Amino acid sequence: MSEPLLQVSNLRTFFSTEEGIVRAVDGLSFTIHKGEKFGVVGESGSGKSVTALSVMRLIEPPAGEIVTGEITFKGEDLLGLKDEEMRKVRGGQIAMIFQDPMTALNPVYTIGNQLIETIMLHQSVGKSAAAEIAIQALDDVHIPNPKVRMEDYPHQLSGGMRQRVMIAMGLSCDPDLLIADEPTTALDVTTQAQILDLMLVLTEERNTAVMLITHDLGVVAGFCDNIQVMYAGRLAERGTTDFIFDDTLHPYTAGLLGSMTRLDEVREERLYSIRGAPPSLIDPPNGCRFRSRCDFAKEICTRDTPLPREISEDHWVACHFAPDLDLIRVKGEPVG
Amino acid sequence: MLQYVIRRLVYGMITLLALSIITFTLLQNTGGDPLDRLKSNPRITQQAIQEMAEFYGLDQPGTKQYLTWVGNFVQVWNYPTAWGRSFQGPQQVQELVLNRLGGTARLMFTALGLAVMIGIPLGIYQAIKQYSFFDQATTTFSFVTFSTPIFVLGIGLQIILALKLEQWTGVKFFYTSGMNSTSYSDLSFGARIGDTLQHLVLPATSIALISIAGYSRYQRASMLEVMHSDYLRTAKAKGLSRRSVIVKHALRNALIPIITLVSLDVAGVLGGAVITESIFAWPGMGRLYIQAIFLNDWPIVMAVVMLIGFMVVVMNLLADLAYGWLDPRVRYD
Ligand SMILES: Nc1ncnc2c1ncn2[C@@H]1O[C@H](COP(=O)(O)OP(=O)(O)O)[C@@H](O)[C@H]1O
Ligand SMILES: [Mg+2]
Repeated sequence: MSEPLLQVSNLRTFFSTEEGIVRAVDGLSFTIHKGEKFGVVGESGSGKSVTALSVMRLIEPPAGEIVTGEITFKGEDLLGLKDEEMRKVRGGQIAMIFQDPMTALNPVYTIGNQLIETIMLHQSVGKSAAAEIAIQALDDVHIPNPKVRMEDYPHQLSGGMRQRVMIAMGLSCDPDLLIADEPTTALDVTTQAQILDLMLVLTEERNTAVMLITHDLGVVAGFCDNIQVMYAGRLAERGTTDFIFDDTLHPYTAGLLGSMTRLDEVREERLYSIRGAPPSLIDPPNGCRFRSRCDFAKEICTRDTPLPREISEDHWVACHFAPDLDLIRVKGEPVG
Repeated sequence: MLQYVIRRLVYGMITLLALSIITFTLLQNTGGDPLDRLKSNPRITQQAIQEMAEFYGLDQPGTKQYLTWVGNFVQVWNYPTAWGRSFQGPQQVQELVLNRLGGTARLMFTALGLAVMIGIPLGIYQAIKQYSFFDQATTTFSFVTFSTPIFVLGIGLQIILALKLEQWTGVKFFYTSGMNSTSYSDLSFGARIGDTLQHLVLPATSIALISIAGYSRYQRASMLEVMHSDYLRTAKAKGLSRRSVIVKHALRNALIPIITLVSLDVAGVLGGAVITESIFAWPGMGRLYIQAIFLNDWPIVMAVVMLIGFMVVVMNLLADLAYGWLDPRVRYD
């Protein structure tokens, strides 16, 4: 694969709350390469957003803090950057779009205003040149009448249109990495597919790497080269999309696959659902965090924390028993 | 837009009409007879009282009295007779009330201006510095002030900032009664301004303190909410500086809800003025109003109530216009 773009190693991001310290991300390492489409999957609360916000250095003190870890972007140590240097990275080299397009845009400024603001912040162009770029960016995301839409306020656009605006804004400065945190979760299914297609086409054209965060394996399936499955702030499994779907190693991944609705499949048996709920991230006990929900848990799972192991090239898993488990009955027969 | 303003003014008129009917009915049924005082005076004959009642129309049924009053009241251009005569003597109500309007307006607008100019920035600053010592100290202070009755604040300010301060320093900083000194007309222009301020500061501050406390608490909450909003996170993710994030993206949104609070508070400030005027011997409508209530002098009471109602209606309209100016989601139709 091409050269590394973003390297995160041993990231720990904690929040101090009244109930105690929430270990939202607890020792996570991964690498995203230039132009790579990298999926991050896990149930809600597994630390996906916190990982993304840590990379952006948008974890809010005093409650939140990156306790340990290294984040290297294009060879530069992001955690060591001064605030104003980090601001050049944000929006310029790493752009981020969020889950809820209804609330992600400022309601009191026009679309044009908010686009032009971003462009002028990162490119040395005047206002009229920035407006030209903005109109082009809206055109790129297939917004009809971009010139007219520039004058619209966010409330005048539909959810899908607003997410297109967010994508236009994210890509307007030609970043190397686009972080999309559940970009389609709030949208209806048809719009969801359109937005994903659009994101894929645009980022392929520009060779932009994407970190696509979602709780839905179905969303990353057609999009990503590699997928990282997270559980309770840690890595469960990571590998190419084919590995994850076909050579599943972790019982949690298998559970996610088993509970996935697939349009191309008529299922005989009921959808699988993972029993129980994720553990509290305050003072989590030793051992495997998934064990209480795992059909295969043994005594060692209580005693020892499973560390990520590379089972085959670029296929990592954090489970004591991989690759020896028979996961078919959990995830269902492979398709095709 | 113009259509909206006109429609709002029509609604305002209807509100005022309803206000006048309700107030009039209440005064008729609970106020007692305005001529009671005369009746208990043995030197005034039954005949004279009868003539007085006829003169003021008090012998007529309530509905008739009301209709006569409204009919005259709206003809404000018939100065000074439009609003009837006071029961206390030969003065015309319109003249009496309008002469005092300036005093109340001066007090009210100063207090409102102080409250807006201090309360709103205070709340914003508290939110930006959430959990700091400054935030906690001022929040506690606001809480205490907000729960203190206005007459306690007024008298407290008189004791500390006028009485004690003068005793300690030997210099008179503030006056505790009246709108100007008796020597006012002999003063130079600069000295007149000084004299006016020395009289105005304490009563205006007493009224403003409670509003400052209210506005800052509300503004702090609204600012905090905006600071945790998704669009602020977007603004930060764009790479904007903290300063631009706050000044451009947070402030305007955080100010929108406070407008409603301020416009609703106009009535509260006027109510505060009524009480404060008595404490500071301030020649405004408030004192006139309280005296009139005690004497069942309802033409005065009605006139003051209607003026206050009018100001509230106008301020609410202005607030709605400001709302639309700040928030593009508001449509006037
Ligand atoms: N600002 C915060 N304060 C306290 N806890 C937080 C905060 N943000 C996130 N968390 C906690 O961190 C954990 C991971 O959250 P998040 O990364 O948002 O999950 P998700 O995978 O759904 O994006 C959750 O348990 C959440 O409660
Ligand atoms: Mg999330």
